[in-house]
Amino acid sequence: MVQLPQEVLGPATLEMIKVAGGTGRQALGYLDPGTGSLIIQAGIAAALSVPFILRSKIKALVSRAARLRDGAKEKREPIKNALG
Amino acid sequence: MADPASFRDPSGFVFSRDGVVFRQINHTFADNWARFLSSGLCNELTQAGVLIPHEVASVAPLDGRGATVIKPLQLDFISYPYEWSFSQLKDAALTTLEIQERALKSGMSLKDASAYNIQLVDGRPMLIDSLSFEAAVPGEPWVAYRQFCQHFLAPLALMAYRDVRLGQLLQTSIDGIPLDLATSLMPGRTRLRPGLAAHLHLHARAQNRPDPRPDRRSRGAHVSDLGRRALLDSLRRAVEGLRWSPDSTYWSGYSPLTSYSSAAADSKATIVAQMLAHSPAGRVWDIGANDGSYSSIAAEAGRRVIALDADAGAVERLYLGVRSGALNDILPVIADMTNPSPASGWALRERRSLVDRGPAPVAMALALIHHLAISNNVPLPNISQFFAGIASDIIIEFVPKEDPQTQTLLASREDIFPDYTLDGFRSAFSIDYEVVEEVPVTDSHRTLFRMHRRER
Repeated sequence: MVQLPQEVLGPATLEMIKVAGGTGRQALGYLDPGTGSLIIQAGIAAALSVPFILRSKIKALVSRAARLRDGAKEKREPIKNALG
Repeated sequence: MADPASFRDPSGFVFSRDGVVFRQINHTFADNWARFLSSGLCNELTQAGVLIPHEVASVAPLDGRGATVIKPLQLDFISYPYEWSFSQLKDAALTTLEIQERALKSGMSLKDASAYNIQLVDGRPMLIDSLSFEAAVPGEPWVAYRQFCQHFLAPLALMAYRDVRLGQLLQTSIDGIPLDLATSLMPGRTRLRPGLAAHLHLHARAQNRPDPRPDRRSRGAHVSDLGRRALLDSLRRAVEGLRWSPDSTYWSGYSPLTSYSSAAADSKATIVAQMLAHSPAGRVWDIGANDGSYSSIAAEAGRRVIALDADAGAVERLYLGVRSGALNDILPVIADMTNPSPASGWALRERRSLVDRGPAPVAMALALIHHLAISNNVPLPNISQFFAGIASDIIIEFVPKEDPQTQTLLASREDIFPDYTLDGFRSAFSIDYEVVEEVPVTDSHRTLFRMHRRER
């Protein structure tokens, strides 16, 4: 890789290359996400994770219970049909 | 020619050649594009109907930056978010979140969440920017989070909680409504809604606070995979929880047929259908579409219709009808003909004016002229001139002073319209148009005209 002196690139370009870590990704990112937005996003995402997990678990339990109920119903049906 | 609205993203841009729209994909984006295709995400989104279909085009790139050119599905009209009703914007928001959820599952992420990247095609929101995807970097926050909040969540919350007309703020705030402005206009009770409290109120405060460690910037912000899913889930729930009913607007409860006898209504519908059958092929602009009765007649005749109305409630109802599948080939759009959407954005070319998005081969202006001429004091020759700029053929209804609707408009004001007569109407429109057909509506004082623009 060709090394260019800092005074040629300027601090903004250097920062971009540093953050990109060689992937070239930041060079494509054209949207200013807003520093405050990124930081608050991290906080909000962390805070939301706990209720999200809880809700997912409850949902999974409810659907599992519904499946079990349906399964039990299906098992009963043939008996009922056989009797009927 | 490069599209003047497509210049911000270095990944590529839209251009047109011989009237066909193409998208150039630049070399700098080639890796992400290859990944987007090979991951199956492109196919998945296209098949789900949330991404515009495209084919690889065998045309040369417009400039040396280009690696590939694709030809997307051609859209005959581009509408803007400030021209959408509440549910149109809400559906566009939910589609954007759905796309981001699917993208994350494929190891990719939306790098922007602009409402301008969505178009409503056959009543369904569709992402039209195929270059919006990049490889997701583990732990990195969603770069388009703020944009999503400004373009979708903030206007929707304002429309739901304050006034639906606040969606019009998107017209002046080209990159979405600033969150500090949005939250200052919102009622205090929105702080009690967890989604709005977090994504708007808290978010707005965080934006306004100066970064205490500017040297560290985003490297301090880490969002786990679980956090990403939780964030999207929360945004989706916040959007889904916002509701607005069109009952509160004047025109949404008004049917253009209420002032007609059934004989007059039948007569008018028959005349409109016949006039459409003799009009040039192509899309129709139904100006003052209201409940879409005549848009439906045009759509049933195989026309694609842009149904324009100034009232957000009327457009909302019409959109819900289109979305339910009851009406096809109709795109409802909010547009006030006395103040149509202007050109805006960079160099006034980024967002085109409503007129610039024409002309249409045919425009219908039914039960509209009295509102323009009498309620808004627009002289008849000016109306004619305006129509001549947007359509070569028009189907237009003259509603005379004897009509109960016009009398209602005149009841509370002085009649300063001596030229507002059938002869005056013919004379004013004869400058720009020649009358091809003139048919009186049975059991009514009204007259329908089919006119063709004069060659200049």
